[in-house]
Amino acid sequence: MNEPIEVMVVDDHDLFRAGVKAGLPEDIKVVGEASDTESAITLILERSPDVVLLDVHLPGGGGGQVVKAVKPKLPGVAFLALSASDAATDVVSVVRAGARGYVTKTIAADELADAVRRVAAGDVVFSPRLAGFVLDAFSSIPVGDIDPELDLLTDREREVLQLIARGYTYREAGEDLFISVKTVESHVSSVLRKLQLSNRNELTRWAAERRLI
Amino acid sequence: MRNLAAMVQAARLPSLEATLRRVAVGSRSVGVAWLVLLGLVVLARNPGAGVAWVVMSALLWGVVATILARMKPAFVTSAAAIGIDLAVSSAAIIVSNLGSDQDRFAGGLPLVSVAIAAIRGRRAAWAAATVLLAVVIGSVSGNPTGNIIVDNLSQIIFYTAGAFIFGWAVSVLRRFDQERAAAESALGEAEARRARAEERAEISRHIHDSVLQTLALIQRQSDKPDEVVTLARGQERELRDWLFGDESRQPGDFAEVLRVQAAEIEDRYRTVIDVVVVGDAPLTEPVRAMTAAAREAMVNAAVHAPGSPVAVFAEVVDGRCRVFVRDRGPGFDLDAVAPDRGGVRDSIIGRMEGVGGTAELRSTPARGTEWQLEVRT
Repeated sequence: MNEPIEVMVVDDHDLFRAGVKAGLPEDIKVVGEASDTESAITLILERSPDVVLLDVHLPGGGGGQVVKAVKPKLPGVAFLALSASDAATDVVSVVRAGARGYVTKTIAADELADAVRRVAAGDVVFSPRLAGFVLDAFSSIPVGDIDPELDLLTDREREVLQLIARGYTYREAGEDLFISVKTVESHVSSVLRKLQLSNRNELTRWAAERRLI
Repeated sequence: MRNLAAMVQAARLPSLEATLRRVAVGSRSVGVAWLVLLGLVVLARNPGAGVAWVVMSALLWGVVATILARMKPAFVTSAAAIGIDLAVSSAAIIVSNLGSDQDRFAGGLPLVSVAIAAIRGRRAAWAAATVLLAVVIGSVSGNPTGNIIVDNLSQIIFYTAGAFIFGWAVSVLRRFDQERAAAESALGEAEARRARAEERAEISRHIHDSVLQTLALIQRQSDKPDEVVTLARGQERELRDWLFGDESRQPGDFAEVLRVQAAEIEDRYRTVIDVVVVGDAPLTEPVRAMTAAAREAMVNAAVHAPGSPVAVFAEVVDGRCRVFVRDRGPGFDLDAVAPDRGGVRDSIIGRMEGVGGTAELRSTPARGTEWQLEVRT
């Protein structure tokens, strides 16, 4: 039997933290809770959990700041962003800061557990909505100074993202494209890398323009 | 709020100073013209080099003053301009006093000089103008009694009184203007405060009308999970739209119409429809037909796959508009549906083909159904 996955829940709503704790199965153990940016950073560095469930909006800074503060010191901690707002900038900024995935707070308990397991295993978790955001962000063909390695999605990556946006699981997406689940995961990881590393002005402008979704 | 006051300030055009400057420019032109016309009359009756010189200088000054006033508004009330006014006036007074009583042609320009000095606003300016004119007039006129002041009392009183009246009028106008500006900025602040209060009131009203009401409903219906989910979902949607509503979204365009449809079906069929839209397009006839077909697909998903969330993904790319409607229900076989049961064939496939689009069905028993609709925009 595997060791349980150690998670920390960072959210300023007590009720939401309680709900998450209650919904997580046996193999996922909550090792700590925090409700603001400062205490979250301290506690994560102290307990070094496998996965941090991180609210995008936090008093004293925000999810992105937590990720930025922890990443250099504990690169092994995986962050799964949770948000109720769905505002594109929030989501994209926390993912760009280094989160391994994003899900909405309305996610069902078993899906959240599944997302935690996948993030803990090193995979990337994209919700349909995040896939839509990313497609949108990369859809406008940039002019001028671009790095095709970072600033454009490959056809395959677009196909994978479209399937995720259509509500397909990784397995279903793999079956549809006749590729393995691992390959789907590697495409999604590559998209995440582009999202995090591309400094394309388009992307920043996109995020600013679509403050509201 | 300071901005608002500034806006009020800026909106109040032209400013008092600009108006006063216009008055100065206008009265100077009138004064100069008056002097020139009188001078021409004198010349016609009694030609003389002195009068001709003064008339020409005044004419030149009138033209130069008008041009400079256009180029540099501050020049209008400058000491130099007032000085030239006084010089021309004095020259006219001196020259006309050399002739007979009928030859006087200074006209209104001396008084205009005093008025402009008053607009300049420095007491020293109009005092100097008045004294200068009095001295000039006194020194050139005949002296029946030998006393300059007594002989020219009426002239001296005329210019001094004129200077006082103009000076007083201008200072009253300026004070009134300042008070008005202060009142307006206070008004602007009050307006801003009121706007903030109104905004707060609107937020509390909104929270009361919708959120609190919904929470009350949820508490009363807590034994009916379906009802609770529907209420919560509807409230979430409304609040989300209120908080994060995308103002750039066009109400009549494709993305918005699709979202509104999904929301209606969510409410009516007690289901959850997640809509993700990339891009947007105007609602042309083919796009409208596709939205109608997508609506049918959503309704089918809600009816035949109850309890499973419906995923709707739409994208507008390269002139093509596509919608995917997917459920995780039992699935069905289109060929097994009796041909006379027209629902799917007519309302989805027929509709799409009618506008030159395509509708593709993928359905796997126990895995769910997905419609793929596509048209050119």
